[in-house]
Amino acid sequence: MAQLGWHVNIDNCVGCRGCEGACKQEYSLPTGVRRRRVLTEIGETAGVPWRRHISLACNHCERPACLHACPVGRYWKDEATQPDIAELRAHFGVDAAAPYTGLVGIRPTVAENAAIGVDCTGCKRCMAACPYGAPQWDETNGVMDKCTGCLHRIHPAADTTLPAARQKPACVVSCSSYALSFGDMADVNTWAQRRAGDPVTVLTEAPAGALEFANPALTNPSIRFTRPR
Amino acid sequence: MNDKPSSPIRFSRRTLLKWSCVTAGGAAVASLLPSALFPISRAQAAQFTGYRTGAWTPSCCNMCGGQCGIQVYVEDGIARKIEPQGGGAGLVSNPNNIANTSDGYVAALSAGDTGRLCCKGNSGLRSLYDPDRLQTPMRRVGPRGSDLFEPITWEQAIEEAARRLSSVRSRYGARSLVWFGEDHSFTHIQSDFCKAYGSPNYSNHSNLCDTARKAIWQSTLGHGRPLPDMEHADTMLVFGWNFLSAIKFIHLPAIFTRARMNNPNFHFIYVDPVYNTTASKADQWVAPRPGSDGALALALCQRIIASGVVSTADMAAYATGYDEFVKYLNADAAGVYDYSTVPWAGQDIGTWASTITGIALPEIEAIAARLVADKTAGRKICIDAWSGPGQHSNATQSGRAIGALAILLGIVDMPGGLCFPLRSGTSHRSSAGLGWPSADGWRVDGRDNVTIPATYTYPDGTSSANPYDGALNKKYAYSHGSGIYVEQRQRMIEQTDFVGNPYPIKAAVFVFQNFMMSTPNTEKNTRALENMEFVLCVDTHMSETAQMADIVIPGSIYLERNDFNSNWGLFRSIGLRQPVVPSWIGGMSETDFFLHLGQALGFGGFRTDATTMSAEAFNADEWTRFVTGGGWGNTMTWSDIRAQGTWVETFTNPDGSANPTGTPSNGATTTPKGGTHYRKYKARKTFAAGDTVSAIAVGTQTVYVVESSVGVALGIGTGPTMAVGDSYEVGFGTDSRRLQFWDPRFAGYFAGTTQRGDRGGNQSVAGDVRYHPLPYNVLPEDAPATPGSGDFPLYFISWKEVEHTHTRTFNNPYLMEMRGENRLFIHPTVATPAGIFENDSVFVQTEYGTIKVRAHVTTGIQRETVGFARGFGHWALGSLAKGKGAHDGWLLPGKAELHSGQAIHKEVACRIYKEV
Repeated sequence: MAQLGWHVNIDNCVGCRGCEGACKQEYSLPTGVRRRRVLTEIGETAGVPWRRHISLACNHCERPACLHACPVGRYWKDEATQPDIAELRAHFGVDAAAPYTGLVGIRPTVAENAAIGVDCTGCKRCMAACPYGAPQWDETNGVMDKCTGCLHRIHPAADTTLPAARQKPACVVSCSSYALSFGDMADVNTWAQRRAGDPVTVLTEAPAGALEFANPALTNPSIRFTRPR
Repeated sequence: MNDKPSSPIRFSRRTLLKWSCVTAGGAAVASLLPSALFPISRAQAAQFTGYRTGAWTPSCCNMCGGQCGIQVYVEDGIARKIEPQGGGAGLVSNPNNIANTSDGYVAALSAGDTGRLCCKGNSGLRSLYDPDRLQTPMRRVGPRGSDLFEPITWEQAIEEAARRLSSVRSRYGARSLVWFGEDHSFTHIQSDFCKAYGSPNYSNHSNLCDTARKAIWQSTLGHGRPLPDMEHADTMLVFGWNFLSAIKFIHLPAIFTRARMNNPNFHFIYVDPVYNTTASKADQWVAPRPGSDGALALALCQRIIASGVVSTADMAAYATGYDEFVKYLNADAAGVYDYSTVPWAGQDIGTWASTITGIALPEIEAIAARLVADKTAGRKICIDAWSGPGQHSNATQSGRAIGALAILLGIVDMPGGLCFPLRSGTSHRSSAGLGWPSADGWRVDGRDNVTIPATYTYPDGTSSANPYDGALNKKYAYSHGSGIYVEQRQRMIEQTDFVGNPYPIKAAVFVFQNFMMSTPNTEKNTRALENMEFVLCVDTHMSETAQMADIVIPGSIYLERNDFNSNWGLFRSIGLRQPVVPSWIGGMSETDFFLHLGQALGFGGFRTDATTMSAEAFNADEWTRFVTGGGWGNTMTWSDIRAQGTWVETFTNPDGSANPTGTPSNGATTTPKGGTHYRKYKARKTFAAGDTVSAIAVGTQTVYVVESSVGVALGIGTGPTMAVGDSYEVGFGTDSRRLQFWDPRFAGYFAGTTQRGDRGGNQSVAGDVRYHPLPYNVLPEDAPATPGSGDFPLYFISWKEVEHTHTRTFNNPYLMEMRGENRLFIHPTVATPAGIFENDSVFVQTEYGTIKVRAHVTTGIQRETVGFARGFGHWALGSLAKGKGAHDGWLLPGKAELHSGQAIHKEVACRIYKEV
């Protein structure tokens, strides 16, 4: 079963924030909700400055902390063992025959779908549980929000106007410098964009003062990196 | 919440009632904005994301001047998503989003590239649907600048603007109108309007941006807009161009990253006082004192010549003044001029450059060594410079030293080097038969050589004497067609022309220009506008300039209008901008407005009726003339380009077969003509009857130039005389048809044979080293007298970041969320003794003004320099923009660069102190 996820080439990213903007407009997100965030990290090594940009959204973890923390089961993972998976896929317009993606989505509200809907209580346990800052508090709508992996773009309806080459997350479509790509984590080495020979790794160590990515063993995030040279 | 429409605070109370009667169709304000958009519920957002029932329209972005290709999904009449143009669905991928060379373009598309778009392009819908947009024309009802306006109808606005422009012309003459227009967009209609009115004073924005860069490369290489062929380069050396963040063309991060990823030899040296994103991708970051790039370049030139790698044969064949330049660098007394008194005489030029730039000598040596090694190994070197050196008082001379570096290394119009674009666009309609008058008077700003009569006669028959009459030379030796905003402003203040003749200026029009903030020295901008009888401003928001106007016209957002964009690349392509949705404010585009206004003024060729000359018809007409008259061997009908978005030049049929006869074929192809066109200087021509050969002597060198019968330089002469039928190379676009260390145009000024038009008439500048024919080292005028000490010990500079453009993106909620404030970069060696910590409020003071801004303490800035991202500090524009960050225009002298007229944004000496 496929688990879709990201490759972030920190060496390539120029911080154009096209990915961040693409996601904002894809979902008409209000101010304060940043499903995707480009972090600009700056520092100094032996008096010489450095700067890097890292684009992060939700890592659609193998063991999503948000999903397990939510007391009302609002998050769902696009996999065979997900309760209500057929109804969830139908609600979001994903063809039943389309392969599973492993993406972690958000259930509709009760008003949107009485059968499988769940209303966020605003307890924010998901925000506390996630090691990566993916869940965002949406003050306008009074709910937690996060990247849902653009399932509607990856597996669109048959009559979609999206060209085949654009049937990928909105963020990836916009990337200006071969920094963000998306695919099946099982063969990430085939599609991760990088200079030949550059490694594709989980991110643990970082320059002093930089983001220290959480131990990937906690949730097994579906993301790999190519670090700055 | 920020997303709700804000109440229009700009109306005076007494007209609030009137407002509700005068909107389009009598509807109240709130319902003009598609209410489905603000605010949007989670359900509404979820419903939209199907991309099922709507359609995609190709167009071009205009969040900045890059004009990248986009396609916009519109559903139920609402624009829902902007994506990069490409990826299928019958659209041609706009090369602007992919590459600037044809093989780069073809290779990327073959590899499945579907383009890209920065954060600004992705935020366009929030500008389109900004509730703070002007929704109706406005008329000033209080004192100028009081921000008291009443709404009026479009008909009232056109009538009043026409009446007042006509009144100004009838009393002061058509020359009394000055125009400030955005370029890239709807320029043809604006310049047509000025011509039809009779004013010679049409200017547009390039001189705020990069006309000094144009002068630098025009003088040295013969083309004002060379492009770096990054994708094929081995080594890049870039001065003052943050192309990975300031971006402009979104292909720039792509071609750079492809080179960096795919070329194991790739090496990047970046020269900039600021450690920005571009610096962060460099192998070596070099931080000179602002405006000292030329000194660095001269030292590098000397080292490269001393190493022996320069091809003296190439210099002899294709360069003017190489021997003289060598003498200059060697402080030789026995040149055309005596160079024994140059600043480095008696010391090593590298040591001198280190003193001037503040860069340690080993760093300079490392760059030189790298370039020498690259040249020896035959690696491809790409050198470029933009507005870092370009926005200084010494820009042209300083930049010419960088140009000299490019000439020495032999990288001009070569693969991987600095190359000349092929660019052609749609052409202006002819004015024949339209009955437009001759221009009234002469251009006020010294851009042109002019002939001034002894008296000027006003329309009422009165006249004024011109003390400085006759043939007056231009003030700016390398002036650009866009004019000189700084000079035009000074003329508005003084009410004289550039040589001092009385010259009333009484009307000013601003189209998509926020003059109050963008032209340096805001206080002078205020004084200039206070002298105007009539100010017309067309803009999307109530900008700081609109606030100063008499009539404000709501402008269009790019998603609502028609334009063409001729792409800058080594092959020709043109992107179409077309409306993806009709204007939700019920307004008209700028083109439509000026057609209406011109009609109201009785101009020939301006809107006779709605069907024969709409904005779309205006553009369709330009397109048809381009296709039928351009000889490109392609046809792409107006409906074709509207469907496909972009035209790419080709003489290859889509099936790959050659099309040598130029049989029309559709330009919807991804196979540009003949590959990337390098080495255009080697094209050959034939000496024709009437052609002559002129000689330019530079010391012991004499270069011969083929000239046409009317004195236009055509190519490289083979000797003092040539015969009809002799073949010659076209060479470069300079006066000598060669790459120029020595500029013959400057030589005339420096020798006193060419004079400069200035206050009091033509003036000699003989011996003024700022006009030296060699790239003579000149220090920036407004630098700190002694960097690091004195009353104003620090350099103040400013720059652009990716999230914002000019002053116009600051009411966009997406972009303001990403970067909602500018911070002053301060080096710790300056901040710490002053007790300044991160986020502290500090004052920046120059002799012109003081601002307050928060501090960002960083080693990422040259240690005697402070600076920030420009465009912030609005006091108008909109509810999100107002009050955020700091504005640089209060601090600046407000000068124009001597040769190009470039507005000098990056040069003033300052002090900083902490707010306590």
